[in-house]
Amino acid sequence: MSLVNRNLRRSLLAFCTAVYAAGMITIIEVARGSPLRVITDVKYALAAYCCVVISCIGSMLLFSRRVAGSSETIS
Amino acid sequence: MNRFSMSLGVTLGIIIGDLPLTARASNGQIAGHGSIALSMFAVIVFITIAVSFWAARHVRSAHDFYTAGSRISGLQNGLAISGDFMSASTFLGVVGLVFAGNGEAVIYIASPILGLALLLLYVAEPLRNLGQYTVTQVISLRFEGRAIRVFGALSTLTVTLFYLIAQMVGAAALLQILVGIPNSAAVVLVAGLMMLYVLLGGMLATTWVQIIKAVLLVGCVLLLSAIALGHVGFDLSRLYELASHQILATQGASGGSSALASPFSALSLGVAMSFGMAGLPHLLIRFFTVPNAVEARRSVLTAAFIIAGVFLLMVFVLAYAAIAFVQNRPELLDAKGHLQGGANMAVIHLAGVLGGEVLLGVVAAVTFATILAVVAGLTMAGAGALANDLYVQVLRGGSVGDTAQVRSFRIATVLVTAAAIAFGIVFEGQSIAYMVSLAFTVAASANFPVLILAIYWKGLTRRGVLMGGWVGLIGSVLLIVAGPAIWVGVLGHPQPLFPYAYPALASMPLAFLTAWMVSRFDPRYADPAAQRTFAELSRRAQEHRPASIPTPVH
Repeated sequence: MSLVNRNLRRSLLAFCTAVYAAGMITIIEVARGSPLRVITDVKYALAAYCCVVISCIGSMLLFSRRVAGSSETIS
Repeated sequence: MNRFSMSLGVTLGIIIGDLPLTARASNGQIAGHGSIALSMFAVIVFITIAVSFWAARHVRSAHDFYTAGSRISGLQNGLAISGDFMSASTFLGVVGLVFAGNGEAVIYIASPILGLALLLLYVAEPLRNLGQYTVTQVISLRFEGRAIRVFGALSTLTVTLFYLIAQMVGAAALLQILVGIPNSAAVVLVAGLMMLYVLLGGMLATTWVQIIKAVLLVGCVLLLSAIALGHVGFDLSRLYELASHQILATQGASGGSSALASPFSALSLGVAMSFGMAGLPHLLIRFFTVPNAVEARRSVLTAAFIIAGVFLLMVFVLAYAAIAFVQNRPELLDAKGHLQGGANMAVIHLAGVLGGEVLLGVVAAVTFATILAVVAGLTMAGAGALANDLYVQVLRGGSVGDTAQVRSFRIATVLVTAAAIAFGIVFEGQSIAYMVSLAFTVAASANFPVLILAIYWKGLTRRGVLMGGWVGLIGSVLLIVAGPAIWVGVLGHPQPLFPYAYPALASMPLAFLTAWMVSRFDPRYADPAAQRTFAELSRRAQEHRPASIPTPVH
């Protein structure tokens, strides 16, 4: 793997981690709020959930392609 | 019951927890819809039993029995993993949580996605390449000895049994509510079916029951979501607006308070759900059913897409549709003004409101299929630990033939079923929600640290893994007992010894720390022979190779 690719993947991982953290912080904030916030903050919660899912599945796609010891990749 | 207990009950009901409470509150009130539900149940039972008989014809060896011959594809295994994870109470409980005004639902649905990422990136491939039938075998490849096997088996059994008991009691409550059959009969019915699947077809039957359930559940959630959104012109904002009006009418502008007011509890719940998922034995053994590491990874990705999508629709469409269309309907309320069957029945009522008794029957039957699939997977994990780790490896020293292995597994299945029936009846209406939290917390505190350290840390010693594992196992159980849920809520003490209901944020790091410290000060730390074993296993864990039976490197 070239240095550029490695740095790009590291940057993407850092980005995914930041997006995940932001999503989870928002989710925890909504969860800790009053039941009324379940309604009023639903769009924040939806956006935060999407952030978490995209960052996790993004990381999975980004780092699951290499199969050590072979050149085989997941399509 | 105070507000905290009620909130906690509903929160943990995401797995299946407070169903018995709702069953007691309103037993039989939904049972009027029983005839259609019952016929749908019969169809589900017929299909799943037919699958088990079909699978029985394809099972010829212990390898077939334990792992479906490692011939399940990544896509099939992904469906089975999602079927294994999304229990009936995930379906009922997640919607019920939001319906009851608990924002924790979003933690419950978001945290497992991280668990799936951990599984894919760190666990799936090494587990597939190193393991054969049980998770304990992977640890035993590096550290020989009966003590490791005993710890692994007991840890697996603890997690599995608590989860299984909760599912059994919840299943019985659901059947009581939906078709009006008594608790003990419902427990025996569910246990009998799960035993039949596992005894006849082993992992192959279990896998296909889980696949059928996953397809049904996804179809059911998509159908309900489409109908619900159709009622608001596919305008999500309109749905939220309707829900907002309903909740303001019910709760007023003050809105009450959350059970997760403490940041520690909220984080701890997230930790338990994320790392616990990566330590649940019934999910981990699914990686032995695929032919290679690539398929193992593909299966996690498939499961992640399905689980994330279904959870999204459950919480952000169905739950709000339930608030908008079910809440405050006089015909659905009991004498006290509460929803019949409690908040967990919100999605069932939603099906009735949106599609009449036929859709209600379909949704109830899918929920029943969900229960069957999950308990079958749990039985596989529990019986595997009992038969393979305890009987074959500890008691018989591994010198057991193929036929005897299958026989011991079948006997273990009967024992696990008997325990599930006994506990399912004994624990009727009890605080089973805490057992589920125990299952996730123990999985995060004992199974996950031991597995991850055994695979990735070359400094780990046998003493370290045992001490870390036992501290995680016993520590997590003790902290739950000392917490407000049991110490105050059940045992009646005025103050809890441990102030938080979810202890994983304390018990999991404690297990890691103990394993590290004990290993670091162990005289066998950096032992050359142990280092060679680790290097060989690391090489084997990363190797891309087809299904085969691993041999110890010692």
